[in-house]
Amino acid sequence: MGIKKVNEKRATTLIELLIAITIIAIGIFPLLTAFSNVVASTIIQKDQISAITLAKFQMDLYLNQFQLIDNLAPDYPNSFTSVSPAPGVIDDGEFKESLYNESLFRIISIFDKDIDLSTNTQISYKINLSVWKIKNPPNEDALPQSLNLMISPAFSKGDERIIQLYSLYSQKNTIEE
Amino acid sequence: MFLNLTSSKTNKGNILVMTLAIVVTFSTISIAINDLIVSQAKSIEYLVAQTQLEYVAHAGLIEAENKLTDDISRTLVLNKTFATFKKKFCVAWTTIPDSGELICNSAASPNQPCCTFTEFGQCDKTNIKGICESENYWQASYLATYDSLNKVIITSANIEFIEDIPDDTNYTPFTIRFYQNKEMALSWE
Repeated sequence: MGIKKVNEKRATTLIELLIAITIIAIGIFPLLTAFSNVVASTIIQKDQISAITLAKFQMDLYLNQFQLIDNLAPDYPNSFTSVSPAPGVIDDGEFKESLYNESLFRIISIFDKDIDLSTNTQISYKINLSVWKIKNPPNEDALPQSLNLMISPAFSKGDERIIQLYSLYSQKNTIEE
Repeated sequence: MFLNLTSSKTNKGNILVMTLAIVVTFSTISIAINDLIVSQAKSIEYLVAQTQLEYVAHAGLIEAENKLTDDISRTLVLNKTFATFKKKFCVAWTTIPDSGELICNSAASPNQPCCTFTEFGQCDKTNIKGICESENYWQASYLATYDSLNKVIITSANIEFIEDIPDDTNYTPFTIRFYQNKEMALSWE
């Protein structure tokens, strides 16, 4: 009699434990999802902070450079694109993506001449600077053979523009009319 | 016998209460973590907007300086929407026949839906020359004036989030705006 009662008690506890484990498993699922979101979100935010740093660095470099357009496009075209030499881009004269904080970035700057502000003595360009995260770097064959600031390697699936900045640059017009 | 029965009931109650307590704790932690993610994402988005604003304010100074160069005697008031910054960005892709490599398709059909940057999902908007952007955006503008008394250009720039198409049906107007003022003395006088 006594042994039977002990067995009944154990069986009841086992069922309770199974129910408890099931409830806890259901309860822990949102927590695991939340942790998964934290990991994904942290990676995105890390890239955003890196992109902000690179974008500020490059834009400050542009805006504080004397006669910038003379160095990039001396014939003053209406529009041109520049792949900027951000930290880590230039290596032995070959194009490489910027490896920054364990991610690859490419900085693309589009310069559009501001016709209204440009005169015989002064020339102004609107700068549209974008920092792209490069998920899959192009093959070496697809890269420019030498560093050419006007040629950007093709983008591929998974590449993403992280940040965009606009500003205005003005310098002395050195082309004689 | 009586004591054993009482003890069994107590154990059942303990397990149930502990299980519920654990579930409630997990749920609370989950909610807290999700709130943390949302608040961090917002903070970084605001940081991006403030960085964009800084250079827009600079642009206001440059434009005002250029306008004043033409005629210093004029009363300068520039009020301009300088730039818009789209929140999302995605590109239509095309495959190079020989290599199979995917490249940006700048000639994508306008009817082609935009692709997302994940390999599995797709958004349902149409593209513009292979480029897809969200209708929600940050808009930056500046007001530049000339203080002739102090010979200083003053720019008041602001950036505002414009939500044309809300993400959810329970739409509540979301207004966030940042300001930045900059001054520049005229050095060429």
